[in-house]
Amino acid sequence: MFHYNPTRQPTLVRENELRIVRRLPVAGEVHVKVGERVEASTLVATGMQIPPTTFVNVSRDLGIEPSTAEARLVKEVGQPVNEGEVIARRRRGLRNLTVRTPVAGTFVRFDPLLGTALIRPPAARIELPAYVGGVIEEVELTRGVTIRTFGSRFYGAFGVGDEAFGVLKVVGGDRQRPLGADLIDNRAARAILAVGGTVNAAALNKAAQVGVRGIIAGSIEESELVSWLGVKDSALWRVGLPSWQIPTAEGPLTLVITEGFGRAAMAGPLYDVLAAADGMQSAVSGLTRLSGGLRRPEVVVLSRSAGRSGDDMTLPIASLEPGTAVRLLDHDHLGVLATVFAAPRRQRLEGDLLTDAVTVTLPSGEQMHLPTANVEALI
Amino acid sequence: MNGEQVRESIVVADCGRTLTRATLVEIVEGACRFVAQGTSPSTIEAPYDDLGVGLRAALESLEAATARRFADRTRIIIPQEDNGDGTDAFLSTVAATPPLRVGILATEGGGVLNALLSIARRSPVTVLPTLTVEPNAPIDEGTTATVAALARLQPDLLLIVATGDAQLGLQRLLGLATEIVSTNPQRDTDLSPAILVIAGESGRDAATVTFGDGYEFGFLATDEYDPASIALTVETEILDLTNRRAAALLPGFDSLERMGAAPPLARARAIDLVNRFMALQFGCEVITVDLEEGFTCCWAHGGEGRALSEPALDLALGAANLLTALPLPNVLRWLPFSMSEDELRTWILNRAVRPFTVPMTPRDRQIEAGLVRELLRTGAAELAGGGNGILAADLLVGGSFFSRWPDPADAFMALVDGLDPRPASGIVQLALDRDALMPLIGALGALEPDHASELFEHDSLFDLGACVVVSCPASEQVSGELVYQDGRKWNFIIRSGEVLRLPLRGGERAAALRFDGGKRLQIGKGAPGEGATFEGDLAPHGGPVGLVIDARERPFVFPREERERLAKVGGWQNEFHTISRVMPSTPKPEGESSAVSQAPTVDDPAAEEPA
Repeated sequence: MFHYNPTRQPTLVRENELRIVRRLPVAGEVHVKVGERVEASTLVATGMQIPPTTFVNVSRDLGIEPSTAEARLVKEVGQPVNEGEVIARRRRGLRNLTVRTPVAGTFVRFDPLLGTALIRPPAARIELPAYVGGVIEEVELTRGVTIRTFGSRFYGAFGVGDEAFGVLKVVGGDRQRPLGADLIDNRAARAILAVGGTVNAAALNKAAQVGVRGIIAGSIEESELVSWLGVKDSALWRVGLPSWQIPTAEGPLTLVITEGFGRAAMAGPLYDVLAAADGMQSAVSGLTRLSGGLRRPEVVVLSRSAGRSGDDMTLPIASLEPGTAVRLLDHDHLGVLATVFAAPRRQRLEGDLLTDAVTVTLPSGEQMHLPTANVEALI
Repeated sequence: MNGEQVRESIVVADCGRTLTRATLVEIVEGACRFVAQGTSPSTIEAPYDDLGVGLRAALESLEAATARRFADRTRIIIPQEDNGDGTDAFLSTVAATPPLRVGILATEGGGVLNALLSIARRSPVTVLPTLTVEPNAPIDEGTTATVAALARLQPDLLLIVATGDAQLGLQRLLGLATEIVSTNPQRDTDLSPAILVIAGESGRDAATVTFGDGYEFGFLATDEYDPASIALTVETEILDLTNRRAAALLPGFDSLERMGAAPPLARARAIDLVNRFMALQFGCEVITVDLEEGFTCCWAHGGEGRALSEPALDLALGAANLLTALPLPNVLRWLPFSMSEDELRTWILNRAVRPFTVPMTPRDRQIEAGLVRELLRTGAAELAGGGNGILAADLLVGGSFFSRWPDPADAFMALVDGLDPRPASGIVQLALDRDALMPLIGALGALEPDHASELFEHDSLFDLGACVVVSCPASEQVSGELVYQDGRKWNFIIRSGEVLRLPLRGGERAAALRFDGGKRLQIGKGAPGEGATFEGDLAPHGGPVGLVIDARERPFVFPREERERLAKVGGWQNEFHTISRVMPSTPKPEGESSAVSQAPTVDDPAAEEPA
């Protein structure tokens, strides 16, 4: 089976016990205990991250040999420096040449061989919020926690932005309805907005302006996304240099797109989950990385109930067994929902293509043989 | 196993980012033959994060296909046991490793730099912008911008080349290199970049002082080696570093190394090796292209060879890079339907976010084929040494990627359009590596060259057919006859700009192919107006596509008016996808296709063969 998502679960997990792992990128301090109830905004851990040192080429900027540059320094190794502060100076004719540090920090070293100064910025504090409300189930010393909560979770196709949380507000009242700026007002501040249709740049700008934290939508035209991000750089979609994250730019709020680029409406089961959780706490992450640590954008919505005792809370494992609801992924069928009729087996499709293929039944009753790579287990 | 023992059974794994294959080859009746293949989706990403899971699944698939066991819980069973279980050796090719990002800093554009660039382009690495500096000139804004770009792109390997005024130039390059590696933003790994300095021996101390501590550091003295030797050493270093980084970053890779009778070989390199082998074996000019697990394009003629490897550019995980690598209007011109540039961008981006999908509709396949044509054109231009270079390949081989299109005519047409070969003889043969055996033959060649040669001879290439590229002025027409081995003849006439597809079965070589003379009509590098005759070993041999006579104008011309373009491209599609069967008694009126052919006068079994 091909996995487009970073877990073994289907794209959508409905009304289940969820375990959300929260982890610092560096060792730090965990501030909560096992069994403690947390809100999404509760700081569960903090740490200090030292940014990489910054290099200033003094000899080049002063136009002198590296061996003579040390004599032009006006700061000593070990001294603190402010952003933009002069660290070296040279008189050249009528002009006074200066070298300024681009960052604040400590002047840690001068290399006379290369004529370079190294500035180490101060460590930055990292604060890790819980992201979802729930109960701390496990604490990993100095690193993070696992939070147990109850709700639904699904993955999107791609997204923009980091993590955000807030109250979910479903707007539009129709799965096909696009999100226009007219549907957004100040009442959406600090909320996560969800819409079944497409979203445009005007709506995204308005949302950022009123303080919306995140938007979940079915699709977006690339031109609208580029316009919103204000990026003209053709490198927006470049992958592998240096990471496989797309897009490469960050936006002023988090965006999760469930179907893909274009004007497709959100898959019915995903929209239904959002509609049912309207007004509940939700969390979204837009980070999308295709390789080198696969990540998909994620939506978590908490349930109105905490589950009934006796309910089977085992997380489902994605499979393509008969009866499984799947979403078709190739471009000409993108977003079409179907049901698996026959489990995958190796077979020859049209022509001579030998591949693992699955037979699905479309809503029309028609059956199709598809490579397993062209479907994902939706539920 | 000692060297005297015969390896009769070998399993070769091909581990990609998308798919993992396990292929069994064995000695059958005295020759090494392809026996069976098992496949599995690769598992280098979450939720598995382990290359070994996919490999085990591929081996299980192979076991199911052969009813034999090749692995127990922890290892490959070596050697082969009496009951047939196990194998005598295990080899692997790899495209799953993250491509190294290689930056080159040099003081001049001389022989060493050119040799290094050639090596870097054919290696499975992403070549970052190359920075060349004048040792005595002040650092300009362009240099500063390139240094900043290199720092942002986080090179895994920096090649520092100072072959001119060594001391001064090297000092400057070391300073810039320090700036690049010191200002690295948050790296996605904890591994420091590797630094390889290529300079005169007198620069060794300065380089060692700067990078000898805290980096993977190496020094190559130019006093001792010529540019070609330096380049080959660097190539070895690049491939070794790729494997070392993979072992550090890719769970499961180390066990792949341990189990193998030879170190894992980069897939693109393996394909290049086989391409070079073909050029020597057949004594002709060969191009092999593949788009599975990155873009690989190899050219070889005699002992000469060039290759291009772009591991982060393909129609799967690297699809997003198509947006920057290709001029999209050039892709659109190949489509037999209208599509806007925005629609094409949307198609590419949706492929990028669902990278493993396989096209299911003719429209999707046409879009893929259009992208492939333009990718091949850029690759061919680079291999030919610039935009105007022309490759004179006698054999075009499409990699396993091309098997995904059900009609072999699609692969045939994409290869001809994309690589636009102009063979000296006039005839180019086309074939596919349908079962993805080329990478494993390349790996096998390192261990058992004779086995590799046998495997190649018997099982590797699937003939598609042959194409004759005719240079035909607008005022002339192409006429001639195709003579089959049983003596039947097929006369043909086509006008300039048209394509004619004649039946010629797989495994069958024509007895003769004759072209009548004309005024300026030219076949290959033959004299204009002389016509041509291909007989004996020079005659074309067939395949499911047969023999194609291509009299389209070169370079390809696309009408500006959309309706005319659709008619022209649609016409080409029809001509390539239709085997000529019936000859109209008279040429068609002006404006209609005039391609005519004289069917054999006896029942022609070849003509009954499905396309």
